Amino acid sequence: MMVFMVLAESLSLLLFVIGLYGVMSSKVGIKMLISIEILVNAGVLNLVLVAGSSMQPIILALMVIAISAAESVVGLSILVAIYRKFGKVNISLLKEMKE
Amino acid sequence: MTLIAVPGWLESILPMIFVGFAGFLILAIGMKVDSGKAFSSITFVALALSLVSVVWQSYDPVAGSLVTFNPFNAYFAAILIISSLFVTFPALRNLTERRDIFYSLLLFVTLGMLVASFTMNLVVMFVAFEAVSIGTYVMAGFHKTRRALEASAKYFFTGAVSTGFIVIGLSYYFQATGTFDLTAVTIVSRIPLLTALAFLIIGFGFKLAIFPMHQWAIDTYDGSENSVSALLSTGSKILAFMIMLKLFVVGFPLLGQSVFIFFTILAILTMTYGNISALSETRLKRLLAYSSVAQAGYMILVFSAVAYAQYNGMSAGYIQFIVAAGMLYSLIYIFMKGGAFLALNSIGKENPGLEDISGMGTRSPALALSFTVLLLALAGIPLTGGFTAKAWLFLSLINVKLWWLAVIAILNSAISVFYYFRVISYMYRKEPLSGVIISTEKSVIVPVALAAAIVVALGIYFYVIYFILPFVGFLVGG
Repeated sequence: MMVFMVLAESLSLLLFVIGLYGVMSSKVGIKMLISIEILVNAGVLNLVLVAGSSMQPIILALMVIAISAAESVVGLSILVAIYRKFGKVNISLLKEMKE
Repeated sequence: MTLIAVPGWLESILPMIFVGFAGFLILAIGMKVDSGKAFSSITFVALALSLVSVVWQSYDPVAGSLVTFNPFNAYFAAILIISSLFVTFPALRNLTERRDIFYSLLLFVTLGMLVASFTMNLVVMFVAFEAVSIGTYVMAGFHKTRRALEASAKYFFTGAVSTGFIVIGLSYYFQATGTFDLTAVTIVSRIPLLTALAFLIIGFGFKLAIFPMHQWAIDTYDGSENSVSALLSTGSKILAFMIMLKLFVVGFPLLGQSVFIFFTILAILTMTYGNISALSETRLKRLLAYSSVAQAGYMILVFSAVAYAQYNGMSAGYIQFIVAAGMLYSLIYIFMKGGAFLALNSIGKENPGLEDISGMGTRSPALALSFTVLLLALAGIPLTGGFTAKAWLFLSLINVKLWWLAVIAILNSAISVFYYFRVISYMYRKEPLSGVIISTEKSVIVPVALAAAIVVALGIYFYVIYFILPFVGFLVGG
């Protein structure tokens, strides 16, 4: 059981790092959205792992799934608005403001 | 004192009912008519009613509930409602289409803020926090100009990453403590709690815009419409501050030293970075954005001071004083910062620079005077609310023998005086530019003047902290 927990928590951390790397390295909006999904799902996996006999983390995990869906909807609509304005969903187009 | 004869539990959720109901009402009316005046009036009335019912409720304790109604939570609820109230009418100015959606979003965001302030449970807090985040992503890009879309995209992607950090932080928090209820944290295992601390600081730090996680804030405040920037830098920021206050004051026992080290380093970096960057900035909104990063630096001094007092075993009185100073700071901050962003509404130009406000002192004296008062308050000049806030904060630091941290913060305030005075000198000492219109409409001047008046009143009534101090007892026992 102990070995399983360590392996599973490492898996969720690995997913988290993959998601973070995807967001930071990619310039394409859709790719970043998918990476964010991986990032959030790493958290959901970890929530389910630490639950034990308690229901609270499971409830939070279900909430997070719903929230991340809502978040993707908003993200996609922002990307659609950007596509209509620029003809591309490349985030690197958006640098009118200086860094 | 009860305002309306209703059952206790209903009276407690009355503020949320007003706000939520008005949100749906505006959506329904918006299908038939498109009248900005009607929408803004409904929003204003709903928020005002909600504010009244927050202030005048009798706080029946609801046992074993996910929501907690006490004066501490009501104080923050009131502050967050005021921050929405301030942008209600000014937002109408640049709003051309789908006004119903904007105002219902504003109300739903306020509803999220209310729910987050009336709970001590991390699950409810997280859901309400996300409701606010998702609403503000839309509001930031609502005007669909190039700059607004850029602001919204940057805000969305950093916000979504911060959600990931918060979720994984919460999971480690549960592993360490076995509960999401902040009032019942007993069993603690150190290693997962330390991991949770790091993840949660990064996650909420994104929203508070503290140093390594601040870059989105500069671009988002810059690109969004003025009233949306005002809401983001007041309501959204104070919400994150309140959640962190609940989390780090009561949620991390036995870990005081780590919390202290983390927050002290972050606070020093944030203050210094914000102030130094603002010194060389020439665009007005970016200058205000950098100043709001610096203000976040002063605010998180509260957490390091509380942690220092906790691990040195100081009595609850010291901790209560620090928390009260933080609460006072967040009250005065919303007037200073919200008013300053709204003052930029008067300049008839997108992305105004310093030179665009030259001659404001002769063209619109009332506005220039109010803006000057707000900038002086942000710098912390005596007789303004900014001085009251900073003085009590630094005094509370000295009170727990963190005088070296207070000295660093005072030096930072001294640096900040330069760039605020640069703005003031442009207003009064430069000749007006011919191509720039500075509006003298009442709808622009009134909110700014009101904010300035409140800031001056809070500056004169220096001992206002003794009014706040009794509320803290509901968070920190003793």
